Amino acid sequence: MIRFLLRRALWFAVTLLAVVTVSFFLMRSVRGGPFSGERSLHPTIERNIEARYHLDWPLWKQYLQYVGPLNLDGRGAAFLGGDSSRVLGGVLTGDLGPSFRYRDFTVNDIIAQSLPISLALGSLALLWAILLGVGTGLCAAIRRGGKLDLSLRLVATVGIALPNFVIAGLLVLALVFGAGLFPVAGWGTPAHLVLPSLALGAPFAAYISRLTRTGMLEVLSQDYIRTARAKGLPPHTVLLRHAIKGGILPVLSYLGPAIAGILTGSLVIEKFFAIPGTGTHFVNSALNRDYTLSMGVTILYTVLVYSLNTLVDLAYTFLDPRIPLNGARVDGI
Amino acid sequence: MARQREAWNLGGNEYASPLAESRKFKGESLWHDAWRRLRSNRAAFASLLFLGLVVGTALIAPLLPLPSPMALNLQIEPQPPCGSRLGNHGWEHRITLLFSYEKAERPADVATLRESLSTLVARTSGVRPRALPAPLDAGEIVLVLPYRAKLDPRQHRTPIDVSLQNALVKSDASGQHNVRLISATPSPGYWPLNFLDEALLRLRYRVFGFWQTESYLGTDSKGRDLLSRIVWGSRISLQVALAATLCSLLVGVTYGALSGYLGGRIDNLMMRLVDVLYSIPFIFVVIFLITILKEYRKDLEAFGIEYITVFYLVIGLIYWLTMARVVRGQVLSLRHQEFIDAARVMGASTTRILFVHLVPNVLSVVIVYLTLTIPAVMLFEAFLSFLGLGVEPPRVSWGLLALDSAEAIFPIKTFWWLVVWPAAAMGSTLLALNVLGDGLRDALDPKLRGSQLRARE
Repeated sequence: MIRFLLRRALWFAVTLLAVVTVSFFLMRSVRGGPFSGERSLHPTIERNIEARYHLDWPLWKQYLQYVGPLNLDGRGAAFLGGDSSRVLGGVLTGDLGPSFRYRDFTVNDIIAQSLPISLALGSLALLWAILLGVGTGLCAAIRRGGKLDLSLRLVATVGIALPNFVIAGLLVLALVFGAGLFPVAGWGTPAHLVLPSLALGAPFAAYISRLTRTGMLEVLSQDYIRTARAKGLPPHTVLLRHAIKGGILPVLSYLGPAIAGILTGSLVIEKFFAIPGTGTHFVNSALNRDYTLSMGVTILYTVLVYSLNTLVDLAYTFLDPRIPLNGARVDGI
Repeated sequence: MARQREAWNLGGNEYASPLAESRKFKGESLWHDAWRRLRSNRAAFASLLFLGLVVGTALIAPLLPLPSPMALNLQIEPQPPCGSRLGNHGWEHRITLLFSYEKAERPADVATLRESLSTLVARTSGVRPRALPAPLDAGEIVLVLPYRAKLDPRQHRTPIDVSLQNALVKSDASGQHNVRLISATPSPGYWPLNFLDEALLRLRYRVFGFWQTESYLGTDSKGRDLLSRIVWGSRISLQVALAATLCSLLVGVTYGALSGYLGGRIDNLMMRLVDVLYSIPFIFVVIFLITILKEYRKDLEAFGIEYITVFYLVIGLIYWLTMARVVRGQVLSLRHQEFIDAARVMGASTTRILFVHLVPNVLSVVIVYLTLTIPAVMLFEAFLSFLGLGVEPPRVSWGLLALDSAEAIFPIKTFWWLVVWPAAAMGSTLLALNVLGDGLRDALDPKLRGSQLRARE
């Protein structure tokens, strides 16, 4: 267990370093930097801006400053020539630097503002996905071969095939303009959360439904279920106490990819419903050439996906001791 | 052969009759068997036909008499399906000729004038023009020619406007109207096309002339025909899917086969690399990469590489990981079999063993995985285009159509057709691909379980 976590952490460090290094040098390789190409600025102003973002430093020094942990500028440690007012800095200390576009904000400020929104949306979507998916999967498994099973499977197949923004469009058309149940877009009240999270979770619900059905069917045909039935237990006890434990295991192993998928899916859904989450900021930063913000969010999501995946793996070995904990395998997207 | 038989004393006579007997039976190859099984799977076969239809339509799109997918008409609001009385903008690249004349007394005079001008233009350019309807007392006549590079007033040495002006002066000496050519403006109906598509467009002009379909599926907020945009959009979506999938195929199969075949420490190292790459949330990295690549656009174009090609490659390069894993797993189980040993003993090189002996044997798994990669790639393209990071206007892809539809539902008035038709097109194609993938998996390898291939979806 400890060994597993340590090994994960090691590989995580390697991965993160690779991401940070590659994206840093890619970012700096862009000629003229992010401030060129608009209006031509006065040379003094340009120099000031470059000094503010340390663009006038040699590349290796910029890289060290970005990665950290020692702050190299005038406020850094005394032995580096600073006044020691801010000794630490850089990605290693969780400091993602100033935003290139929102001049008065650091990347950390922006993430702190927007991440709770994205997390609320994402967790609700995951909840929908699990509730709807497991529920319909169970129903389909119980009524195997029936009309309900067939129609649920059809819906699931369609749900897997459709991208979430298409589902979002159809949902808005039906539930907002057709039935008038929800507000169209925006953020603030709980009602604003329903449609986006539903659209975000729908493809995963469809997939979970399919997994649950297959898993349950496999379990239901096993001997211990027959024994439980033969004992005279009521059907719902057999199903909910005995069968579901084994039947739901495939769903659990799918949660890792599902979480990663929901995190990326929220990019589109946030844009679609005009929700001010991290995804919206990320997309805007990519369009605005706000490289530090773009990099910061990439790093943040790498960390999120990696740690959530590790959690899922741990949970999986808890529930199914037959599966050994191993190596660095984590599924991104 | 004969000497071997003698040396090993294989005789031959006792095998003659079973051999002759076995020749009577035609062996069934794996592919034949798979094809038979696929055909008996009705849903999968229907999907195959449907996909054939989609691909076929996309291939001959320039030949179909559809309106232009990019010519704007900003005056009108979106028209519902078949409700357009206003007429779509022209389908071809065209050159619009604007003539002015002194007002005629009788409408019949204008008609004859238009007729004689048409004849004049036809004689000068070699192409029969079309007269656009205009009010009779406007003092202007508009004629439209299909675009040809040699007629382009901006490009050619003796362009159409100069030669027309000369012809007008000549004919005006005897004529009674004072006609002047005001402008000749070329307006492209399409983004730059390759020579094959240009040839198809010319063929279309031969067959249909200026005739084009009504807007069967309605028009969008900029007055463009939706059906035409869906068809042209399918081209780019399918192109991206194909190119990116090929890219992933090439890299993934080579990498996986090499890793599996070499084994040992190299295999370990190569797979560790895949593991590291796997744990990166790629969509973010790709978006970041694309932002950077956009900065280098000019340089790439100077090298003759279009931005969209880079886009294909970037997408392709992230989808090879699973392919590499799947192929490696298969190769690992194959590489200790006798036929590989035999090949090695006969002195075959590593490359030869890889591509002649191993790869054909993993082909069925690769094909199954491919049919699952294609919808994933199409989704990803739509995803990026939706975010404004993929295909750029005036080109159109299904992702951009989805973006249009997202913008179309928020105003007070909803234009349902802008949401429903692109969703139906994309949904049915992706659904068919998924069903076909499942069917192929069942047909090619009945033992194979879906979960391991679908893990990445």
